[in-house]
Amino acid sequence: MSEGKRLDRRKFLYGLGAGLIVGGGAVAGATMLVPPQTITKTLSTTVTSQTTITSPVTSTFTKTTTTTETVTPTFATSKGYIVVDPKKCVGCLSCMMACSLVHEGKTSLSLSRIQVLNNPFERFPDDIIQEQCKQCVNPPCVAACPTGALHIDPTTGVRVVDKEKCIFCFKCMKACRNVPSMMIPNVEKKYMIKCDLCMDTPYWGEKGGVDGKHACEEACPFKAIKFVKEVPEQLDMSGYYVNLRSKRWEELGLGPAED
Amino acid sequence: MELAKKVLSKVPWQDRLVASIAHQTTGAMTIDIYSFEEAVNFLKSCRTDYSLDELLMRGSSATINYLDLNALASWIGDVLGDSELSQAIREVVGGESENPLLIFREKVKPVLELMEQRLAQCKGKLSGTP
Amino acid sequence: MKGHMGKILRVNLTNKTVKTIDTKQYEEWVGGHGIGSAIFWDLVASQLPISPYDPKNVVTIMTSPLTGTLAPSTGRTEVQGIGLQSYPIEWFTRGNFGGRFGMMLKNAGWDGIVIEGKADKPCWINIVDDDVDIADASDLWGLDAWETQEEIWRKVSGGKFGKWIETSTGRYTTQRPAVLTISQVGELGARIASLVHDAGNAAGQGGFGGIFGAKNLKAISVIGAKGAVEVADPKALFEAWKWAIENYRGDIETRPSKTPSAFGAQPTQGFWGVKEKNMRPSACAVCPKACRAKFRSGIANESQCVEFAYYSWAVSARYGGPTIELNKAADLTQKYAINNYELLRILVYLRTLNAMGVLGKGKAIDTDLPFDILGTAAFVEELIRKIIQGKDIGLALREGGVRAAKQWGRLEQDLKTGVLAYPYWGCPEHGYDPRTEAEWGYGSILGERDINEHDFNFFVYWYPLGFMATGNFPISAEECAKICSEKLIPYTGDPFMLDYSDEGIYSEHFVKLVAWHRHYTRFWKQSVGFCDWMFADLVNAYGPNNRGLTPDGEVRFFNAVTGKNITFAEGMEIGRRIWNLDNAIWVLQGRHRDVVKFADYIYEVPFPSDYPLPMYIKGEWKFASAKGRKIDRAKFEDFKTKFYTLEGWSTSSGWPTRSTLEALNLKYVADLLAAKGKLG
Repeated sequence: MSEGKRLDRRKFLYGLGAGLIVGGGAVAGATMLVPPQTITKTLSTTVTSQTTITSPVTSTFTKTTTTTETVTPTFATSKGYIVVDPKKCVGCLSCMMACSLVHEGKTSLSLSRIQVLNNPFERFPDDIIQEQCKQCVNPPCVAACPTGALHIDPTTGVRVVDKEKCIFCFKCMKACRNVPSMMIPNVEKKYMIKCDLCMDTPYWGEKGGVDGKHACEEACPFKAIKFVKEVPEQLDMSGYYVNLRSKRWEELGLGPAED
Repeated sequence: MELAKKVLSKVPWQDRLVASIAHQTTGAMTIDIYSFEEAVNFLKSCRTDYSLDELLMRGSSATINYLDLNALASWIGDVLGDSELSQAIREVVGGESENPLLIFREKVKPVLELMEQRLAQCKGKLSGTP
Repeated sequence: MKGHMGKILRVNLTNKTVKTIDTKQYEEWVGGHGIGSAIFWDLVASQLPISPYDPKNVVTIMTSPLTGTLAPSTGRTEVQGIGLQSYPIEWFTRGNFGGRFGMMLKNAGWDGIVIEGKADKPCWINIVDDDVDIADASDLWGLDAWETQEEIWRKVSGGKFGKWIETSTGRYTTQRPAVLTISQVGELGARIASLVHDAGNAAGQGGFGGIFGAKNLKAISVIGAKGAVEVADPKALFEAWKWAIENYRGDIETRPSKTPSAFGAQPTQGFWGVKEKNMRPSACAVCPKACRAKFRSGIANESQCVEFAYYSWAVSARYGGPTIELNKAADLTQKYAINNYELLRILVYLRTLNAMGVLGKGKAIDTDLPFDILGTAAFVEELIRKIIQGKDIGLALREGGVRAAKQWGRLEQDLKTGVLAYPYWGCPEHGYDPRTEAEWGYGSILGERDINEHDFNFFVYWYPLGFMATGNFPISAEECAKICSEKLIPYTGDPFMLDYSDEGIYSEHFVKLVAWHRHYTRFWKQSVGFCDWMFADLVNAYGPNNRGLTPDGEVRFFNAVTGKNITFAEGMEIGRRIWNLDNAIWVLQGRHRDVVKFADYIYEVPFPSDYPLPMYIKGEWKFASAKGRKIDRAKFEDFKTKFYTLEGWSTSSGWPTRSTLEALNLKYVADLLAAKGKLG
């Protein structure tokens, strides 16, 4: 049975800098060539009411309220993100094989920076957990790192690990709010690994990074993984779980086209 | 009345009607039919609206259920004694063919209609409704 | 060889010891079936024949170098040993299952598992990386296959799911243990018991569930977090993956509708129950096809094919079409880990005997099985209950259809009429009758079980059936034959290998088809690990000019992972070597050409239905029906002679000869056969 953690994940709240540890020279001294982006969240609430705010005459109308919330992060934002469709994922784990293959030259479930968990007895859609690094706008992992090993790449904004500086203290793994954590220990090499949007893939013939390809997306035989450049919804992380199914998916009897 | 009883009866094993269920991934099975009502149910379970696309693309759920309609006609006549229905079916089917599967697909609906009519008639007779 | 983890786990249940076999010792056999047969030979051959229940019976569970890499549909695991199912001789046989067990075993650092002996009380094997424990299973014994797995998950990873788990070996994984288990049916040593992994992966044939039960082994659990599979050429492997999917399967949602194939097939192809709208396709490890499905209801998760087919005929007869009863019936066979092909033929047999007035309440074979509810899941449940309790006809049915019929004094007569549809070695007929699709029947009788190898079946059977049923023929019989003639290395250039006409199935050409099939499946599928429903990919409308990715695909993936540079033909030679080794084992068990015979009905009863196949008749290729065909005894004996000649076996006995064995570097095999007076 699923632990029911999915609800928790989606209720992340990113404080406006409060509670984040911005300590040490490592972070403060980071060059920020990509300026922090303001994230605007648009909440559309549709209300059908019989009262009008502009006229004393009672009538039926529909009102849409737009609220704007601004999250001004401390760090540069990433120029790219991986989004997934956990309702489309078939649990083949090819993405995990591809990820570990291109980064490490060998295949392993524990060295994959994308994690898919298959519960054979559970009901759809809770039977598969498909999780990726969110390249968080306010990354707790970066904030937690005492040595600055975990940092923002100055050109791309991708949150990456400098293996040389990592002291394998596990603070980032505990700080990561994703379940399961997207900071992953490479026990053999004694440093943490994480999704780097395929910036450093010595075992791949393709160019990765924010302007290149991504092994998980390339490998996925059902197109349940996608690389995007726009920052996904941060407040409840819903933007990272998207619908990548077409009408044809439903026509072919493979599942619902709508969520 | 006699005929109605006979048509609705269960036939002994040696007089059974043999149909087949063919499915892509599990092969061909012969299926034994022991009564008129079972035959009607079998024909009802036969889909005929599939295209080749569906059979092969969505082969997961596509079964080709099939029954030799001339053999069905013979069985209805010889074993169940309903020569009128037997003849009617033969007329619909229109003789032997090199592609009995295609003929089945084309003719099963009208044949099923006739059989359902007969089934209703027989049941009605036995329950006393006019 | 890259792809190998380097060690095979050797468990002795009698002594409760755990040892390691160096995989390098068996590297020439590559993996899966090859290594399994080779290890079996080394450990058991000189003692044959022995009973499958004998603690000396060895069960091997083998992955391949490609398992757990990015080679498509290589998540299969091969199980071998002396089986319980076949009759009259309990042949050394094989089963195979998918899912994620093989991948997990590799991640734990093992290439396979060898099980010997018999435990004095119920146990289970707990593998956590290189920590292996033979644990007490007294609280697992009596649980069904699903309950057992959930209980083991609790024991090994505290029931946690969704988070990282730190293993006892100081490693990390998010994955649950992969468990292979038996149900109560296996605990009874039943011949119809299977091994089940997760919800719907099973090694169904061979009765290995009963072997586990006889050894007091309830389950094997593996969690792997330490190992990583070394790949010789990662770039080439990823390229091969992209090449295969782009050129032979395409994008599922945007590709045009075409006649698919093995590799190009449609997801959920295997799902033959009642679909719900809220669902997803479900795949085994690293498989781009996803044959199964999972639903909102949670019913029929991971079930497919015969798990539905065994009962769909009964459900349709009762309800006029499939209903949710069918989905529930699928779940029953998974939970209770029963061989679905046996269940299929047993159920049809029981129903027929009931219709004949021979079996039922107060009849000659007395049973209170409620035939009035045949077609409901409750009927199956009642049958399974009788089998587990050993009550009523349940006790006899534990032995399978053939032995039950024997107990009832009906074996000979029912095999004569075909009422008992068990055509080869007391194994249930698969749906591709020997009288029609001969390569299936021949392969089965020349081997030791229902082959369950669909390499030709997709396009010699289903295509023409679909074409004839719709009057639409996008690919001709001639083209199928031509494509095969290009691809069936080393027997290229002979399109008549695909001639299923009444003359064709006894010809020299057909001998080559059957030999190709044996060698290909022994190596490329059962040793290298490619799934039967994806490979061989011969005729594929998504491929260039209707051509599938065999033989290039297998080679690309194999060489990219292992770093070897073998050709397809070299792989076929390894397959031939394995096939010879298997035959030698069977010879030691009592094989002789005189016992290689189908059940009587195959020779005596005309096939009653239409079964279209490619045939070359009067100078023309066409798809024509094999309705009414029987196998001719004399012609089949002649076929065997031709087959043995091609294989280099004695035509009088069917035993391999010294020259054939020595040319295959199997002198030691020839020596043992000679010592036993069984050399060809």
